Amino acid sequence: MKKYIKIVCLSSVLAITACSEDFITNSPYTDKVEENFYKTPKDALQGLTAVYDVLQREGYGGFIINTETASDDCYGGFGTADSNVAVELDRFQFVTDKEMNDPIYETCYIGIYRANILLENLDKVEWGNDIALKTRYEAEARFLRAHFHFELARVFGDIVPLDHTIKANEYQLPRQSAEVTYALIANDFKFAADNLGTENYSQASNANYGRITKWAAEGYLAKAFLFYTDYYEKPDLAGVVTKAEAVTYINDAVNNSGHALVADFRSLWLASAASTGTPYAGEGNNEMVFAIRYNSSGAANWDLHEGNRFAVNIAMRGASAAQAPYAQGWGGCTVTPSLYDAYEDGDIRRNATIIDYTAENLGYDPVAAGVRQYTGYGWKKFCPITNEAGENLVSIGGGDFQIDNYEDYPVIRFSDVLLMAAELNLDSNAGFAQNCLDRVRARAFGNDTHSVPVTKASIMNEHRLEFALEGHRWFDLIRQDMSTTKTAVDASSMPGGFETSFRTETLGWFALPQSQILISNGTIQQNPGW
Amino acid sequence: MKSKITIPSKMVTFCLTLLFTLVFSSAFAQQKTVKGKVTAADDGMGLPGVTIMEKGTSNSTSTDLDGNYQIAVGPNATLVFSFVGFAPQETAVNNQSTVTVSLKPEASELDEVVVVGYGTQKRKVSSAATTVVSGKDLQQTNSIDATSALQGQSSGVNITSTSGQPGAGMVVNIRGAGTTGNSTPLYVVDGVVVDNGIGYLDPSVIERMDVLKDAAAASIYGARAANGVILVTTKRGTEGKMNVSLNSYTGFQEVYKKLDLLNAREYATIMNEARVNSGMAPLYSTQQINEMQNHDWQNDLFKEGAMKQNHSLLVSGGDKKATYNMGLSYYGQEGLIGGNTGQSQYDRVSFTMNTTYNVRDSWRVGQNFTYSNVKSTGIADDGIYNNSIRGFLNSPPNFPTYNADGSFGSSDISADITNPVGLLYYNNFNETKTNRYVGNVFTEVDLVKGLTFRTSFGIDVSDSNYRSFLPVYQLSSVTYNTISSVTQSNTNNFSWTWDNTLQYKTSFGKHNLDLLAGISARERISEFASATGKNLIFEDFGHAYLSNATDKTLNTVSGGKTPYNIYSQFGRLLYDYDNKYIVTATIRRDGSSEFGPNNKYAVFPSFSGAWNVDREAFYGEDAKVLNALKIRGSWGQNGNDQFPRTFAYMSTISSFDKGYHFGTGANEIPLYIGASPDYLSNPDLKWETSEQLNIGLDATLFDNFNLTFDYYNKKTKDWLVQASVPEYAGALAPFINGGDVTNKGFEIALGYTKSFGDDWRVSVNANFSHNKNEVTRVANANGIINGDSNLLFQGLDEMNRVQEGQPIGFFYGLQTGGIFQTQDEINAYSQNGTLIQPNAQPGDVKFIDRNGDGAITADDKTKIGDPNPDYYYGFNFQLNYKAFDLSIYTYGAGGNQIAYGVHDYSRPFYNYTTDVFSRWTGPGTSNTTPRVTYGTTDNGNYTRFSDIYMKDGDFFRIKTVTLGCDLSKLSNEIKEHFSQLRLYVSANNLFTFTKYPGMDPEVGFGNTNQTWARGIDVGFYPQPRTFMLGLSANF
Repeated sequence: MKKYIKIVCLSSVLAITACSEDFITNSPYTDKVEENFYKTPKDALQGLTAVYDVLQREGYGGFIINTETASDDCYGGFGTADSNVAVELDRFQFVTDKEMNDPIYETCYIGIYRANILLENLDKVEWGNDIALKTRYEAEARFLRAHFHFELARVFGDIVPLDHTIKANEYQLPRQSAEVTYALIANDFKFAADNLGTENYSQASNANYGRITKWAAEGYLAKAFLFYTDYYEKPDLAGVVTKAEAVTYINDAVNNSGHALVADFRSLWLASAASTGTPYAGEGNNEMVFAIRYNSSGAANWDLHEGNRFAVNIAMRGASAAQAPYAQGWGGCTVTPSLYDAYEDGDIRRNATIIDYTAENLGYDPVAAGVRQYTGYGWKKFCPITNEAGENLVSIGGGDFQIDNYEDYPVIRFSDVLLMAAELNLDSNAGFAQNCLDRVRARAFGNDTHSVPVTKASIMNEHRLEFALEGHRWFDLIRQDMSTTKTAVDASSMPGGFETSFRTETLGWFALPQSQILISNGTIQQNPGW
Repeated sequence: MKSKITIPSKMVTFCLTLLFTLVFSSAFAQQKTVKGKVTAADDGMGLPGVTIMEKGTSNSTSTDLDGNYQIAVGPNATLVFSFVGFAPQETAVNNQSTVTVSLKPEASELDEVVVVGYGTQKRKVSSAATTVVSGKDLQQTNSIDATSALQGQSSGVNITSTSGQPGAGMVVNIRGAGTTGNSTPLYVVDGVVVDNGIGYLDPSVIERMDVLKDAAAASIYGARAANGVILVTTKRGTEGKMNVSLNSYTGFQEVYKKLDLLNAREYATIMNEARVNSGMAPLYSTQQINEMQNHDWQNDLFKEGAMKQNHSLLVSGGDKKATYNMGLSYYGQEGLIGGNTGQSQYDRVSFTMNTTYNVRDSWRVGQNFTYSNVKSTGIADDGIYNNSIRGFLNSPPNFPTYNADGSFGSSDISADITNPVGLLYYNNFNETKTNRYVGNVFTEVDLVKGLTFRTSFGIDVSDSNYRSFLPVYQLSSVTYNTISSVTQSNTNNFSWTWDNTLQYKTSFGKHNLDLLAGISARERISEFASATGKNLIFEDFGHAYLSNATDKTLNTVSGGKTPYNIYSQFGRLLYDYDNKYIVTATIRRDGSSEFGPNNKYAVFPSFSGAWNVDREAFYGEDAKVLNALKIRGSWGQNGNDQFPRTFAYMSTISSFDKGYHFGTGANEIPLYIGASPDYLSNPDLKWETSEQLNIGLDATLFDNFNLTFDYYNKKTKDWLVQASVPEYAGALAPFINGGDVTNKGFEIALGYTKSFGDDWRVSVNANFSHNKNEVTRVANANGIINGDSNLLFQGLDEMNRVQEGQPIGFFYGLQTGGIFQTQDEINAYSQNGTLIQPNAQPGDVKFIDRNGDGAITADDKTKIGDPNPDYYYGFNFQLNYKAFDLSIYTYGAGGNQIAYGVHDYSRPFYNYTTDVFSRWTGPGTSNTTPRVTYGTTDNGNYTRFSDIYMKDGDFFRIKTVTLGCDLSKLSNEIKEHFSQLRLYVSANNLFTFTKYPGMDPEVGFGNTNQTWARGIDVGFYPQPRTFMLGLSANF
């Protein structure tokens, strides 16, 4: 008996020892690891989709909110008891939150990382004969990488451009001159423009709507060309794209893309369509050259970023059913009267862009709502809407009104392509330039009697009116020059808590997140003036 | 130690006594008859069956059931009293006719057994720093959870309630927080490692809890012991007649303290003043103010008289072959908050069964098993977004709970004001049902003399079902829900532990040796599934099940599995020479699945020694002052592999929240799945290690005082820090072993027990612990782990940190220098002609420009408080007089600060406490509380975290007071049927002495996202005061 027991004891000890190495080695059940990923084209599509996903990280402290607040079109706004950051942004102050621009910085680099890790692994994928698919994915990933670099470079000036994922010995990289960054941007956009097919996905029910096209790349290349050559006063785009090439690209987009303007400007936007009784043109309308897709599928899950998270910031603070069809939000980025006044009478874009609280008889009490820097004007573009009973459409659909707003954000509309074409053709083909500008103005007034002569100034003004509150204005100001920016921004301020004064010593760049300067161990310095 | 004599042997004793009395009283008639009583020194009760022998003769007798005896002896005789388990005592008769003695339990503090890992050891030869708390002491506090009962009873253990809600967890730190990660000690119940605390156990089944504090004690549990170990031993049966014990109490809870909130008129007046101060028109006219109806929302918050009850039945017994112990208990508690609508309720049914069986002399088998079923519903009470209590303290007092039509009342001031009763009601439909099975089977075989093999297989299984329901409701234009939803989730944790040990005990001469070698394997698998469905067919909680959801397109589902495995080998040597010189060495090697191939294994050694000075020859046999003295010392290392993230060493590729939609349409379009790495990998990730030095002494003084003192220095190294990686790396930084923290301190425990005559017995236990916590390394770029923003309300800046040179989670804010009384003072506060606070107005806070740069910025912030108590203590007192007993358990802590953030400054119209009366209203009115404003001030009076939020958290709490009467001691008739029949009244949380202004100074809450954050009060579920009536019976 004793012997038997001893054998059992001994064998149990041995059994447990023998399998110990396997016993303490596990792998995840709900995640992949690098060894078993990037194998199939399906994996590559997942890697690409993860890059697109970063586009949806727009929100408080992001690209649109912060640049519109800085511009002459908006004040800080939000609630009387809210953090002072929004007002400081508007006033070019930097006190309360040294990370006020971090969402832009962080988000863009996540996008760049995801693009780079996919690009680095594309060769590992077994493509079979489908090399065209590989090229397409590469073009899309490089386009997105350029998009994120371009946003960074426009907001912060010199940045750390990255064409690869970094290793532990690269945690203290210096910033590069604009020329280096823009060369990367130009080459990426150029690759996409040159390698993507001629498809145009902007039709309702097109299953590819939202994906990057050749036309989007051509438009974006022109945008980068105009900003870079204007701001840095250079003749070409970082030695990669000459002006003639830029003209060729943008003219191709104007003439061959199949994109067009929708007939009624008001139908482009949910709230302007709802408030003016205009049929909504819907997503996938032919004017959308490149739009960031939002929808309500996050269904109130705060861990998911599927909805438009900047819309709630600009929507009406404390709105109730009485303010239908405008849904509630936090009252940020109140619109300056100077923007309202910039529109001529008869320009239908004014009431499609701006909510005029008084004229629309909304019965809104800004004091009860506790809104800060109330001007009587608010954002109509991107404003979430209610049904006729005043019920928030997002909430009715089971979403959260803060995170599940579904209106897309157009990065490039066809009217932008037209105005960029006007600007690029101004010297070489004035007639074509005039024609492009006229198309935009004719749509804006519903007739062709409001033509103005095409000049740089008239294009800039038209760009402001056409793209107000779409995240373009600030860059149009600073690419002109610092004094133009100062004149515009300072003139837009009013007494009584709306005072703002642009500090030209900042050169128009935003403050880098303080944490990123600290972590760089001296290789990154704060931008001038901050 | 109590007598374990049961009734049959008592009867035998009684008969024998009678016989001896009859026979010898006549035979030695010339001798003197001595009478008396023998009592036990620990509880003063009469001891039956004590042998009394006349020294040097064979003349003897023994005591009767009540401990009385009578013996005929010579006039100069010396009586020897002896009884199993008690120290023998000799007393000279000296012509007395009555000799009454009190026998001391042999297991005095130093001779007791202590439970150590994988076995027990005589305390006399233990060289480790451990504390024992008896089951009796645990039960006395009438706590739901033995962890809570432990509060104040063990030095070196700081236990803080995270919430007063029934079933809420406790923060348990043994010798300070040693990591920013998981600082919970390891719980081992009857040898089985259990996760998630011991709330499943009814305290009445617990025999004892041994807290292993120093490295020498804990290191046998190597990889898991860095935060200390709590060993729980449940009751086992003993030989003898079946013993039945019943314990039952019922009580009522009430709120201990309400806040003094402004009434409606005061509120309106303050609002008007705030608006005027902010350049706005007043909100209320005088007439409106005069007509205002007051409403204190706290009256709706608490359910006075919420019930608490516990009933437990224990049956134990056995014979030489087998013993058993069975327990069945029910515990039920209504929540003080949420109890009005049945939304905070905790019920636990538990069943325990322990048996042992001696197959033969050399072979024993046994099992321990506990099943518990817990059903709980609770209200959300953490943080600022998910806190049902906060609204009650902030809602304006000028609108009613219900409108005339029965609907929830609403405020006309702002849509942002939500009826807190409605909010609590609608948002807290949930229940969690947990079945838990913990137990083990073991067998022990004596292979050869002194060599024992033991194998034990234990399981810890919990199966938890959660269900919640959100109805359609509308409380204001911004607070509503338009689609009903249900969430059901199931979590299953299965873990098993298999321990195999060989133990060899031998003695040669005065050398005693105890060798242990063992291996242990443990696996834990956690699996969960969760789903949400919307738009239910039935709109009530009772019918809230997924199948009733009609909207499948909005359903969200998730599920997953987390594995964990650990394999260990260990050995221990216990050696002593003549119980005088003691040496212990332990080594354990662990391999854990939490680490990659580079660092899978780690070795944890420990050494300790002790010297029983009292056993030295030079030590006087009859030392009157210092009866016993032991000096101890230890050094050792322990590990911690419990990290907040599994597979922290890998770069995993996840698909969560990486999807994107192509195609048109708002909702119907297909979601493309995205996938990318989230974290950069760190294949070198390794264990946290705690290295501890301990020096202590145990002493007995004046026979009745037991003193234990320990000094320790515990360094926890290599806890996980998220590395500093620039954001342009694009993925989350890997975790690295980059943090060290030191906890240094001392502990004193002093016990005193003495009986006075037959009737009185006093027992006092006091303990005091001091701990100093200092972070010594944070290996990211700044040496800082930043705290979150928005912790007290939306819009507040960072308020706490982990930083080198500071205690974990210290409060980080601006220092203030009073209130600006006049514009002149503001103007005078300048540097080089520039105002330091240009936006300030009279009545605003003056912040200190610490770095002297002429502006108030985040760089001026510094340490303004410490949430870790410097010291904590307990004082427990027991008094017995005849049939009556009184016990008082208390505890306290001090030297810490709490961020008092009950008022939400993000909304200007929220109500205040009457503390606002001390605000600044003009020069000279206040130098501590700024003026009131309607919304944020440009000066940032409250939106910048500063020392005006800091309050001292010192408190002393009378945890339990119990007064009991044992009827069996009053009536022989009762005594025939019951060995104990005790009725008692008891009160929990009777008084709390504190200057802290909140409802409860015991604030275990911090930040659910950062476990190291502590002491943040944003509206806290206070611990109730409870009055109970109870009965305990033994027969």
